[in-house]
Amino acid sequence: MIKQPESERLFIRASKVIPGGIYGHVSPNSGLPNYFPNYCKKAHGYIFEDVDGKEWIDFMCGYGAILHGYRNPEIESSVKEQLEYGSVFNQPSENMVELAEKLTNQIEFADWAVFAKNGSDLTTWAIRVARERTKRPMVIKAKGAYHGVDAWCDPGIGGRIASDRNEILEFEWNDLCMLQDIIIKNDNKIACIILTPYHHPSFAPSELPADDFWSTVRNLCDEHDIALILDDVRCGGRLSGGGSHCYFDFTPDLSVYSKALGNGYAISACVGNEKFKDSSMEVFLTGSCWNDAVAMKAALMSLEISSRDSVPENVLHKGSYFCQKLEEVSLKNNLPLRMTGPQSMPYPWIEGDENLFMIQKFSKFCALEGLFFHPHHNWFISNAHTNESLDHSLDKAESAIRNMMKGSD
Amino acid sequence: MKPKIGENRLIPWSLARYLAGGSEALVQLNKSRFTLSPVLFDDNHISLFKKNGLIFSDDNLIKAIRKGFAFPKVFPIFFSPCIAAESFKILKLLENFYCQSYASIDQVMVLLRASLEACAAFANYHVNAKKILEDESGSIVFSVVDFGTVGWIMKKPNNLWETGSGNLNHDPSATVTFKNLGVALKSTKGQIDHMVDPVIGKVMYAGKLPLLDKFGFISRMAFTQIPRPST
Repeated sequence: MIKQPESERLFIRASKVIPGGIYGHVSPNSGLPNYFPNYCKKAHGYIFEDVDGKEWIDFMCGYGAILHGYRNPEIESSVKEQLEYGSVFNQPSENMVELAEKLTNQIEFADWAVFAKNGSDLTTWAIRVARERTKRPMVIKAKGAYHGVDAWCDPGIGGRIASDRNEILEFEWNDLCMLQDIIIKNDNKIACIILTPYHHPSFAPSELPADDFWSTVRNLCDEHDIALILDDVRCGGRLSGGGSHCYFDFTPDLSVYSKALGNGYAISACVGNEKFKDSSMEVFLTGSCWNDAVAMKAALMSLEISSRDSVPENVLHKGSYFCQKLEEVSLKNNLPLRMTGPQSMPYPWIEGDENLFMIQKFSKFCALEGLFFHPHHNWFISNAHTNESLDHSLDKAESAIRNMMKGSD
Repeated sequence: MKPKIGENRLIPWSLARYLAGGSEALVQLNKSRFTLSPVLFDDNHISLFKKNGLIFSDDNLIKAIRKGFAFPKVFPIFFSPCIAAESFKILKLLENFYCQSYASIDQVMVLLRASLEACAAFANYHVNAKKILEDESGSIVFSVVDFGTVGWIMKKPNNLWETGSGNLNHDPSATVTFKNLGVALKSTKGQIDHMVDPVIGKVMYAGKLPLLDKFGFISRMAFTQIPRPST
């Protein structure tokens, strides 16, 4: 265990006024309570400091919200500039027009863009747009895939009624026969298929699409007049500058982005092709702070840096180096660790560890070394990670693995 | 027609299983030589030992737990007085453990097993609970620091959940470790804050978290609906 008196004190304070103290994916119970800190004080680049003053080398990047490193100077400077004018007004700002133009220029299939704050806001809206266009009720998704916090898709258990998911059908990722069967059995009832670029469930290794996966899904959608929605919330900006569909070589009809888009400033975007433009105008969409000029300014700068500095290629390259070395170090010390999924956002999996005890132990030993390696969520490599920081992390990881294999705590 | 454990009978059936679980732990602790084996006697009665001894209507079984007393059917007591007496003795032992003011390892083992058994009844027969757990398998072992294993629950190949008090003969899928007997005792009464207590070190979870999440949800559902014994 790591002594964290301030973190504990804050948590106890919180538990009196916030149900559960901290909820959702950042709940300590989802990570490693008593090893990971409960609260963060500040962050810069690839380092964050918890409220007890301990510095961590970060591999979660705000669960994906940070792509260019915490407090990237160029983004912070453009944010500061916008703050001089204000953030939320009665009308949208010019930033909104500029951001829509930038996204439709950068994403080749996109003819229009809309904005909100969270991924969920727009994954849910996108399926409604698909329903509006097709006049059909049903939605197909992959089993275990995360698409947000709304009742049709949230991974929790409580507060749900059976009808929430009456129109939601699921298939096993990469099982194209199962997908085809569902479509045939529900002919003329399927409005859309919503999928992430690759399968990244929690508590399980990531799974890349099979060679013919995306071409088959696209063909099935075309044959049956079904909308193909890409949930690029988590991967967007980390695999390809033009959207993750470019990385896997297919074209969706609608695509949703968030997380890395604003580099820590809350914004989400949905882009679509011309075919869906009329329907998009029929589905109500709004939020009091959704026209936030500051977040849009951050997104504009974030996209500019990504294009200028080839950030998706960089993080893939850095991730590839880091994952390969980490696997080597692990194997050398008899720990069969495998980094699954694209290397800019790898998910750690230990062979034979279906019950997750070993990965939890590994993450605890790494936490003692100041490495923020989550045991159950994919990690993120940011463009702020330097080669030196990755090498330094690898040294610390090796030391953690040795201690773990020796059985010392 | 054989009576069935439908949603309408789940609460009394869970209570009967609670008592049976407690009685099994009493046997393991050499506090009793006799375990309760509840069966559905008919569409409105539950017998605590096969079809003999103490037979309560569903309502009276709930009342017996809530108030500490309710009348069983009289005639079966005359037909099998020894079984009825042994059953009474077990109920009294369980009541004593429930009312005991200080936490002891025996008390934790008996009440945890009883609670797990009631949760297992929900896991096996509550429609939503069954659906929530349909993709899950494996076992959860409960232990107390310095005392070791105090109980477990596991899914059998026939898809029913069963509980036990001794050591499991295989590695668990997940573990729940209580900091001390006091915390463990609270857990048997549904008084654990599942989001706060693990963070402040009262309870430690490890292993397959989705299984713990789901089983935890079902145990809270069961604790909300099942009446508590009177103290």
